[in-house]
Amino acid sequence: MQNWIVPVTLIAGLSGTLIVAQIKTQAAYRDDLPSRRVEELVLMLKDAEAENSRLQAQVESLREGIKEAGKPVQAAKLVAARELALTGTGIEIEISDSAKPLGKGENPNIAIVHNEDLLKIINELRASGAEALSINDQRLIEMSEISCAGPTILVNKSRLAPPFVIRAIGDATTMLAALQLRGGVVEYLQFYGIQVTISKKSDIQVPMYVGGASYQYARPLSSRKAT
Amino acid sequence: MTSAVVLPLLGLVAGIGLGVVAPVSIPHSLAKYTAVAILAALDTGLGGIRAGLEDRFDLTSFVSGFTFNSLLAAALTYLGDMLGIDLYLAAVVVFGVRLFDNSAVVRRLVVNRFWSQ
Repeated sequence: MQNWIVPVTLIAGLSGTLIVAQIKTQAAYRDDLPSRRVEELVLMLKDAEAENSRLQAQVESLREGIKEAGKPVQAAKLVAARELALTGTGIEIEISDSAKPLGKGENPNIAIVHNEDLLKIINELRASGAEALSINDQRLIEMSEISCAGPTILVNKSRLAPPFVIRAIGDATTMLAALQLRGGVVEYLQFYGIQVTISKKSDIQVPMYVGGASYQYARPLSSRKAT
Repeated sequence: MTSAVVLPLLGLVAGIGLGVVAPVSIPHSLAKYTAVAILAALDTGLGGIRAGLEDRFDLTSFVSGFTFNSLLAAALTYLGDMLGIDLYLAAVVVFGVRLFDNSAVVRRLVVNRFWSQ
């Protein structure tokens, strides 16, 4: 047997191992998220969203069941509970993007409602005594975010698009005055053409929270001392 | 003559089997290095076959050639990573050219041998 066959065989074995290992690695990498096509990702997102809304409907119906089965809850707890739709006097604010045509060279960003705008309004409402708030039927709870998600705004992990309707239960006169303060948030928005209409109502309805946020880390310090 | 063809082929198949069975996975940042290593190994293997068929196979130069070429290619790749240019392509091109060169010679030798029989 020629002296070259064994070394060449060994090298051939090494090549085979390396090639297969590399192919396996590359195949795994191709399946990773970053290298997927945008269309594919959009489809996945749509599927996930459909699943999400189906589950939310389920949550809603299950909570209805709990309410019927559970004992009557104390009045103070009722108001705090986010699982309850609330009603009362308050104001309704509708905010939509500017209808004014953009001038030449004007930044289109100034004509649209941003998450910061909503945050300012919500903060103003809370500062003036709002007791329950919702944006486009998303109840605001302590874990609710108002964040920017491209052309939409994310509240309770669901995407909202203009027009935004904010409902606030509380002292309507105080809240209205706080919003319409000179140099306040509404005047600021209207300066940029954002359309804000506020109406006092005696029967504002704020829906219950239907998202999945739950306490994972926080727990009462002491069950007896807890108020 | 038959064992000259069969044994390296068996080695290749065994290596592929090993790669399939063994849970080897290469970090993606090292993929370039593996690619260069694969080319170096293929080049060395083909070069060995050529030398063997030409009756001038030398184990020392075979081993040292493989080691040195692999190290040089890895070093080039590393340098390219540092400099931000795909310097490993140089190794890929050289190994690729040599692969074609060597396979052409091997093909001619094998064809001649079978033809003259």
